[in-house]
Amino acid sequence: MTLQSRPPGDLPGGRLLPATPPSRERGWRGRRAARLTHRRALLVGGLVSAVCAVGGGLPLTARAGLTARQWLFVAHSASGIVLVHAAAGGVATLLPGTSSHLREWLRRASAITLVAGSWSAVLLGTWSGYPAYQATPPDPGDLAAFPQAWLRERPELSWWDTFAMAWKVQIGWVCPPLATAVATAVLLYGSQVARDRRLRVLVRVALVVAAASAAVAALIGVVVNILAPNDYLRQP
Amino acid sequence: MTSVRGFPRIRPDDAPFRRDRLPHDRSVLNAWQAGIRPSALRLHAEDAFLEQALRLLGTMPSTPVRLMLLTAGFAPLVSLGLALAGVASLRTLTLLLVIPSVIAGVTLAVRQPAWGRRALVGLVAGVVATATYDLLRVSLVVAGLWRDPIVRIGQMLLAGPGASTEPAALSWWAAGYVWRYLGDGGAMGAAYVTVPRLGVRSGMVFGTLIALGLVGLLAVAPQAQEQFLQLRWSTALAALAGHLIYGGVLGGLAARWLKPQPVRRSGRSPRRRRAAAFNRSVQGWPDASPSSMRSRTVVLPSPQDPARLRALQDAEHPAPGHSAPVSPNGGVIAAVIAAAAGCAALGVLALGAAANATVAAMLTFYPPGGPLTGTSTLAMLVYLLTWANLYVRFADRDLDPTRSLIVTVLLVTTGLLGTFPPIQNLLSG
Repeated sequence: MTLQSRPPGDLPGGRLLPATPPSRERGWRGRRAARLTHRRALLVGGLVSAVCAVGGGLPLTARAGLTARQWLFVAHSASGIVLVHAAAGGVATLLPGTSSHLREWLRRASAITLVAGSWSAVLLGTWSGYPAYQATPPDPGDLAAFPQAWLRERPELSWWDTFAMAWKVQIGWVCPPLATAVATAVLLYGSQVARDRRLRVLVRVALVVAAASAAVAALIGVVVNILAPNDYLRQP
Repeated sequence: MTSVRGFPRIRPDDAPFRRDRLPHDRSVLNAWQAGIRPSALRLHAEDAFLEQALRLLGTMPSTPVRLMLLTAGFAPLVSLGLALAGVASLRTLTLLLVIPSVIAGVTLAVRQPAWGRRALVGLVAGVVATATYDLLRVSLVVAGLWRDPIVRIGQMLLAGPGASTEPAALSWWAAGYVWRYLGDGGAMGAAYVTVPRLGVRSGMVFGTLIALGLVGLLAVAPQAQEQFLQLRWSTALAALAGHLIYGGVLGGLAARWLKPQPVRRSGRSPRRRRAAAFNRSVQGWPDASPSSMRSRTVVLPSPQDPARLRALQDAEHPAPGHSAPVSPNGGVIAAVIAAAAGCAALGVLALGAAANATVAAMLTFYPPGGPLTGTSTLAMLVYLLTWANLYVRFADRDLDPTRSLIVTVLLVTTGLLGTFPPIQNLLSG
């Protein structure tokens, strides 16, 4: 009787050792592309953009003398824009199975932004924007400051209030808890998620539903803002 | 990857093969050749077998008995609810539902004495819990904040629904309180002991569900408000507080007086069949089926099937990259399922607000914002509480992601359907 010996690369169960990781030596094209999308470059670019936006936008809007409602609406819209972009970033980096330092960094940044943007957008929208949107007009004649009543007055547009806006305000709330769950998975349990394919599927489903609900809410919000007058924002 | 606990192994190069110590049994020899000590193999198989056998012996035949006890225990409460909703008179429902349920419960207790004793203890605990609840309720009645609706039960039972409410006869009071203590509180206590986990927390969940049923009945059937209790924020909160007290006391007493009775599946489900087949074919472990308990045999891996030994060996030496101890995934699953539960709560509350004006008014926390303010606030409260609860339960556990995915998809679908306006319009008519 002889003891069975295995070749060095053969593992129990007939599996083979994983292939040697590909060499990092790439051509000049690869190195250049890596430099352009380096995470530090992205971080610096993002910070510069944020500083420009805030530093340039704040004085301009202050000079414009925005009302409190307009400020809150700007914050709500900005949160929505950030949220949709973060969701897209999350989808782009979490759905593929592969990983890299850049992907990991983008994944974390998207997760944090997704959570901040989603909570900020729904809270501002529910407690500030929506009450102003559905305010009851005292005078039936002048509806320019009352978007809901304005839409309901027009049969061809009333669908945008009875269906679209009613759906938007509710489906928007689906996003924050799911986004928080995704962020928790990415930030606190990244190693488990990376290791377990079925866990990744679970997190991906949560992310896709969150992103889809955010996209629906944002799209309807944009269209309703175009269709209905928003003179209510000028009121203090 | 199969996990094998506490499996000492020697490598062939660590322990030189010695022909004079060669075991005689072929299967043990094969295990030895695979690098597993025969004694360890046998001990492990015995341990697994005994553990499963003890687990089986510690349970009672359960699922049908639990369902029957639950049905019987809730029969008086359901009858009262149906009578208040105007479906039929309480006397008719007593004849049709309550009395047959009592007969079925007593028969069950005689045929299954262990469950009968549990149900009796649950009934006593339920009566004590109802008395504790009444300390709060009677104080509210005395303070004039809440009227006592129990006399109405006695009146519906003895005088019929059309009888004058004043003056209330003493027999109405007596019948009402007997119904409340034995029929409602006690019978539901007997139903509660069928829950696999007894304790204050599960009791409070039980009480909350009963309170939600009461509030739902009052919201759906306005005539029940006239006969029984006016639905306002104060009454709803008081009812919830009272039922939390009831459930907490009931759960605490039941957990103190009874051992928990985990669910034992009476049949062989496909999952259990697969697990048993896996144990038999791959590892040679006996399963805890009654037949294998009778034979009490421990099957070692067959020498003709090296795949079985390879499976054991793999469990001992998994591939690099997979061998590091994996930290539990319960934290991720708790976060995702809690978020999905928040979505489901959002959908259910939105449906409730669309279907019923009273519910919509109750959910209007900020009048300019409408019911959305209450719907979203309560749904997120449900989300956070569920997350905290699940995290405590799941953080140290490794759960099945596929099953969690199914639960998540179901909950999220509930939420999405509930927030979809055409479905809300269907309910609101």
